Amino acid sequence: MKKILFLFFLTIIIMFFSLFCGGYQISFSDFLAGKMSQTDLAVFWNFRFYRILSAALVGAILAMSGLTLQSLFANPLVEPYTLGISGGANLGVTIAAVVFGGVSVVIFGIFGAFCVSALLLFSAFLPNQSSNRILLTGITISYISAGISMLFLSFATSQDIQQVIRWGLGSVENADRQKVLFLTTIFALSFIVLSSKTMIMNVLQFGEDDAKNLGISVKKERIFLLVIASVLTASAVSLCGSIGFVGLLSPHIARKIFGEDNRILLFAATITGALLLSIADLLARTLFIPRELPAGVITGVLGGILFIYLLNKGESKC
Amino acid sequence: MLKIDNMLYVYPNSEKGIFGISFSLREGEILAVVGNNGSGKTTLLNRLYAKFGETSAFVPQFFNISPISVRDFVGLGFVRQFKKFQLTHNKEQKARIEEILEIAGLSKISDGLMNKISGGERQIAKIAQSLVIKPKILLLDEPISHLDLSNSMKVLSLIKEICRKENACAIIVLHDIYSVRKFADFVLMLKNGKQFGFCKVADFSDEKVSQLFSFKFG
Repeated sequence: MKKILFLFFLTIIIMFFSLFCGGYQISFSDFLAGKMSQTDLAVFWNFRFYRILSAALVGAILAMSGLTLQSLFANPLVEPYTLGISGGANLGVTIAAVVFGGVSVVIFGIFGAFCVSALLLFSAFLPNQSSNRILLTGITISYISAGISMLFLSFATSQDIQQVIRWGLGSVENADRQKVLFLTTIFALSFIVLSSKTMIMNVLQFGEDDAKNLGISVKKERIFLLVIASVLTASAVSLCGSIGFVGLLSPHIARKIFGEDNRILLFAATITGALLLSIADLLARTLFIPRELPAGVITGVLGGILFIYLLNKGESKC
Repeated sequence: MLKIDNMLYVYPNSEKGIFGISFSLREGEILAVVGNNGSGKTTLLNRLYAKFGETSAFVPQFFNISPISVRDFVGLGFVRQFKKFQLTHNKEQKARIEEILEIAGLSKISDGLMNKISGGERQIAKIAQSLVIKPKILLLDEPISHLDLSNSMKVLSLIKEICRKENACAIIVLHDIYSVRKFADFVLMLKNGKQFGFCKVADFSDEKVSQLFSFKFG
């Protein structure tokens, strides 16, 4: 419990600290004295505040989605990427950029993510379905959507390609009030629903047979959790691009620190995700001023190295 | 009193299944199910579990664990009775978990992690997990097939004790004839999905064993 609180406050402190870091200098003493200039205020609110909030929210959402997917498929390798949900969003964005000249990218992204989730749900209904088969289906879907994306891209102008690649790198730079409100709503609702399912997630982790023997209606619970994970992923990915790895990384880091009980893990992984992406975004904004990196670069490289270290340290659990 | 009359089940698109199984059992009694591989023992347990649902508990031959504490693992047995938005065990459930940990002799290691305890203790924890909901019928599929003799005896004595204490009956698939004679009250013999015989354990003679498994002693 103490550890969770510590992580939580660490996240808050880092988020607060990030408000004063970046290409444009805002001094902390001005903020305390309430003497911020007009430009200061504009940068502070319009550029930093919403961006930092949405970084934390997207991190938390991806982590939650990853944790849910991992326990519902009883498989530690699963995350929005391996299931093709992000791939579907990517395809949607590509089509929006190439065919429709970049309008309603977000809507197409969400649509793409939901199409893949619907396919996964459909395959979950097939007789004799196992979690491994659904997983393989998801991996295949992500290859298919990557293939179709490339097909569209090979007919696209370089400007369109740039837009798609920029999106694909993942970034929270274009956050505004509406996006933050949308993300907050999705986050809060899913968090409440998921926290009521943590016991069931604990049981689903044993796999299909054991869960059935413990009296869980496996199919129903899986579909329910899959829908929630899809909504989470779709909203995060479509608004902020495919920010790699947070969904896989955060639950595993949280497991290493807090153990395997999903009742604790839900909090822990969510906060870990928020913390990871907050740090990643902070670094992305400040490492190479005035150039900004996509947050996906940091999560991919630094997150990956951290994960390999944690994975090989101590005894193996998974 | 548990009474099964002429139970029949055929797997879809196949000729395999169980045919005409009948037996009866009173509270506190233990029935051993014996027979060759593929004779329908596990099918019978599965069908009984499907038939009796929540009043029964099923402990499969193989099961997965995760690195959670023994107490939490045992507590998961309550999951089917959880109400919507119930986040954690209520008072009675907590008391029952402690009670069952005590009976099963797991109290000392209840804070240990499932992946750190021995195979025998894992098996006992799994049985304890299925027992928290006070099932009337306990179905166990080869609970001792990968345990040494002392752990086997421990597990079977525990099952016997619990059945007596909580007025449940147990139906156990067993391969070890010694354990059958030591712990069961009745024996159900299966051969090729059909009932080969049902008798008191006292009548489960060497002759019957050799007939059932088609071999000769000496």
